[in-house]
Amino acid sequence: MSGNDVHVNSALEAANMLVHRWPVIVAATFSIVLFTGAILLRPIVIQRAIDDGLIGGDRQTLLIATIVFGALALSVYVFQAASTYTTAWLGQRFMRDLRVRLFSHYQRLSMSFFDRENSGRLVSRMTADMNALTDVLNNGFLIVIQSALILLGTVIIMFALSWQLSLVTLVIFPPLLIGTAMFRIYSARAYEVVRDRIADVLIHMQETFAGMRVVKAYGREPYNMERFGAINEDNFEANIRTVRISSMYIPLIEWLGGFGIGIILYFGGRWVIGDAVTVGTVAAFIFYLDFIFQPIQRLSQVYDMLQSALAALNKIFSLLAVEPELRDPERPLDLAGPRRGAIEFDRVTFGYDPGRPVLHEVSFQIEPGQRVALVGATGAGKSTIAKLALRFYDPTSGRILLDSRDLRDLRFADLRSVVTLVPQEGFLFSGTIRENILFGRPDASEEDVIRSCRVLGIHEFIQALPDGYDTAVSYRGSRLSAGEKQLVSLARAFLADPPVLILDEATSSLDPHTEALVEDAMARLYADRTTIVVAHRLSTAEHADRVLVIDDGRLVEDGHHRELVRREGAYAALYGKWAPEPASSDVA
Amino acid sequence: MTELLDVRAGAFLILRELRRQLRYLGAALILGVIWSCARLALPVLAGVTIDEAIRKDRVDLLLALCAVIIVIAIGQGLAAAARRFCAMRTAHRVEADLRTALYNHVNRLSFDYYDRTSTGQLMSRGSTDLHEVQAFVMVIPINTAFLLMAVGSFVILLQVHLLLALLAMAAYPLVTLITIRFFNKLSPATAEVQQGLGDLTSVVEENIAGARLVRAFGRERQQEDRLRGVADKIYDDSMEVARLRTLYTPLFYLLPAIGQLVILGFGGWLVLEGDVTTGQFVSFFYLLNMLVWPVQGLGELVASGQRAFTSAARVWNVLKEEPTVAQNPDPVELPDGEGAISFRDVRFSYNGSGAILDNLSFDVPSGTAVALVGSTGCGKSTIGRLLPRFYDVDRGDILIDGVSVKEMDLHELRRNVGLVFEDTFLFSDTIRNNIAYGRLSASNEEIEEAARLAQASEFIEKMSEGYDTVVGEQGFSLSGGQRQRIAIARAVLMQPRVLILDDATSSVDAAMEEEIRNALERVMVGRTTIIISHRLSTIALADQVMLLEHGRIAESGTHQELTRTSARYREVLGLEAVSA
Repeated sequence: MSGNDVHVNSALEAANMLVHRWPVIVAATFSIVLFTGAILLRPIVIQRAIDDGLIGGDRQTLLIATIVFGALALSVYVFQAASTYTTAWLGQRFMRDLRVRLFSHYQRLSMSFFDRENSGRLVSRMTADMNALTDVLNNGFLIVIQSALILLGTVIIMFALSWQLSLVTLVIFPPLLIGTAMFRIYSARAYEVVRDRIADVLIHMQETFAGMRVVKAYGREPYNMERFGAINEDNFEANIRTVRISSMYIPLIEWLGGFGIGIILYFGGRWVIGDAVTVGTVAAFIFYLDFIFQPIQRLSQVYDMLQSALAALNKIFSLLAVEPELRDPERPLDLAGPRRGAIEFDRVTFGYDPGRPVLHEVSFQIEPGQRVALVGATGAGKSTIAKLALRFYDPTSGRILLDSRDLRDLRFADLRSVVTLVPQEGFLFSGTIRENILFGRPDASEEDVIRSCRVLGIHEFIQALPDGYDTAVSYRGSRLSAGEKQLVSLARAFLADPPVLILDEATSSLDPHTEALVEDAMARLYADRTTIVVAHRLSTAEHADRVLVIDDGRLVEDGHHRELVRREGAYAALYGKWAPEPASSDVA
Repeated sequence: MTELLDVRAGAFLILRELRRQLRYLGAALILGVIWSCARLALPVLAGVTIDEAIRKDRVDLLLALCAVIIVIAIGQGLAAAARRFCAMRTAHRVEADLRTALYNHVNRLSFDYYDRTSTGQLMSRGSTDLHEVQAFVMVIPINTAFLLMAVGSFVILLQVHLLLALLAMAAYPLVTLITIRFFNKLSPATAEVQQGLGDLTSVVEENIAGARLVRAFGRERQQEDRLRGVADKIYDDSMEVARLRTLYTPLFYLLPAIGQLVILGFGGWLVLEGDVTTGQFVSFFYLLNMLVWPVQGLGELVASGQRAFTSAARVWNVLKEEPTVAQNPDPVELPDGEGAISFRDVRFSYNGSGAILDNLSFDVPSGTAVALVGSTGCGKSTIGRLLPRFYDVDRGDILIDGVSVKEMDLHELRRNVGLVFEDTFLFSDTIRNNIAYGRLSASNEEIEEAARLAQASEFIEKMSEGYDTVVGEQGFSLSGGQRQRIAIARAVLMQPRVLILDDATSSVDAAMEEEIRNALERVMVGRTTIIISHRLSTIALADQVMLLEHGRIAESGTHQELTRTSARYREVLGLEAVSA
């Protein structure tokens, strides 16, 4: 019951997005009604032509009927074109607006939402669910309205022409409806199996093709072929089951069609002989028979489509109803004056699930320009501290201050211009290298971009790429190596030139040449700004001004590397485990 | 990349497959003929009923004729069911057979082919393209029946009145032609829309994956603009499709209406002249009404055929590829040994480009380990790929325990060369099956022993489902180090004589590397190992180090020797920077 209410709400919301396009909606409705009207009237013209023209021997009636038929055909043409275009326009406008609306909504949602939600699901709201809606808007909607109107109009006209003949003709209705409904149910089940089976086929193909080198290295080809043969055969069998079901439904339609004609001719014929109906009416009934079969079949075809569209609409609008957890303050503090970049955590307690804190009463102050390394085991809370400093989350209790102002009192835009992130994996957006660097400061000039890269010592490296700064990169199949991506993402941060930089260090090692480039660029990037590095490498902590050791959500040690090693506490233990690479100490 | 398409080869491929399905296809065609005859009979019988029974007040004949109509309808329904079944079975069979052929063929091809083909390309051959072929084959029988119906209708009309027949049917060929034109214009337009939807997916995926970055830099507005651009493009392209539909679909109803108009006006006049009966008039009208859909179907068949031939041509381009590394028909048995390796004057280049290795000769004594070191592109990974014959050398020879790799049975060779790559590929299957990947017959004890050797047993046993945990893309996600150790267990289980570790430790952090190194140390015992790495601690596992430059061995010795004597070696490993 409540599920239905949600459906109704979503449908109302959707309707709300269309209301302001009312002139086109009126035009569309108008053309659909006229189109179906013109279609429905054609058999009546034939009936008149037969009864009054052919059997009555009236040439004039025949002429008029011919002209009217031609006019109706032209109206069908015009109004079909009009309804096709107007409904497509409405549908596509709606889809465009909805896409933009949902995506903009994503941009307003807080980071906590993205950490919680499955990203695949969020993508599929924007893709699969939108496509389900588009399908209906492209075909389904028009079909539903037209078919319903034609079916309704046909029944009314049939009864108006001859209620007796209508009654006997309509005996085909119950088996047609029951048969069609049963077919829908069984074939929906069978197609569900087909979807699973074809997914199996595609997954197996995908894996084999992607892992071809391993397949070859381990001589798996014969086994793979055997296995794929079986999976592919299962898919074939599943398809054949749907074929069997539809092969049982088809004759029912043809039988009922033939049976309908037999009934119309027999009873109609008897009543013509008894002068109760005319030959024209019998002929018209034969033509109207089609207007019963087609709409019912088409309606049943779009039924599933309609169902999934409603479900999609529902999912999309419930996502739109999610409110962002963090918002700009109502009376923001001004961040005027020099931005120094002092960060203070004041007894910060935080948990993603408020009942289970991952940080306990963490307090520390970072001076402007200080380079701080956060160190600790996986899951200790290092990354959480970084996220809080960026205000991806608000602390459960305690405060975080930037230049003595609570983060919650600042506008996001102001905060972001002061505190910036360099992510672990050197994330790049699709586009050119230049565009990716400009992401840091879109209004920067070409000179600024090149200057930044020169300062970081990576200008030569970028110039050496096939298209220099115009080299295309993408978030997926980029041709850049992990290290090269990191370099570009450092340039991006440098161009943004934030007083505070938060950096999540990469875990994977690079080849020595790139490694040297990256380390060099980082050192230049850190100069003259506050940096907080989530450290995965010992060398990073060694070079920092200060090391904060986090254990189980608590700040356990705080000091310089040398100091902490001497203290023989948690840091010294970690240091022992990391132990410098034997060969390198050998040389050094 | 545009590939050369031989549409005729595509057509031949479809024809070849159809010949194999001759029984079902033939049955479908014959049943189609029966079905269309029955369909043609109904309008004619309706006309006869009106003329002979109804208008002549003969109730007895009326009953008989109506009974005949129902009997014919029953036959027609049965024929339709059987036709549909046979047609669809043929189509699904052709699709399934071609897919198996494609899959098996790709499995048979060699590495040079995988290097120049993406997984995405192969996937679209195996899904979209084969689906296109299936969709075409499926509608062949019904459209053949449609064609017969159109011809039959014309003949029926012709017998009554030549001019009437010609005028009434004149517009129909036009419908077929316009349908072909419509679909030929529609498919590139829909492809544009699909392209836009693909772009939209990447913008969204990227935005969500990079959500942190977008927020950190405050670039929400820029992302919205980006999406709006794509959404507008989708809108424009969809409206282009809508424009085509608006232009063409109403014609599919208008043009047949011309024929009906001819029957109504001219045919009606002929009735008044006494040349045609009222019953015939009704049956003609009925016939033309029935043809509206079939003549469109014929156009769709042609358009779908054109697409199917192109798709089949793309499939053929895969099927016509030949494996470049051939199985030796008369293989030599591998003698006992621990995998002594020797390269003799080896020259190699990828696909005729510049030589990666030239005049390369070296020996690795059996049971020892050698590390290959060199800057990116020096050819060290290539050496690892030549040993299991992923590629054949251009010149020279490679021997394992004194036998040329070309002389051995290919499977035997690969079973004896274990590989651990940098990016470990695990299949969506249980850990057990991933370890047993190369030796399906391995017992549970052997699998667990391999895991123990690879230091993987500990974390595997901690998992709730242990060895039955499903991993890979569809399953539980493992850390880089865990995947690596499973890959090592997978290699060890094969008990190879030669083990190649290609950058096997580069994607894990220092603590994890330590564990993997321990695992490697144990599995190297009793076999010959080639280590390709730039990590010092991994190189330290080798007895001997070779510095590779420009496809040749520039220097060799122990790690200590080389660090002492070779400046180039120190440079390549970045040791200068560390000591400075």
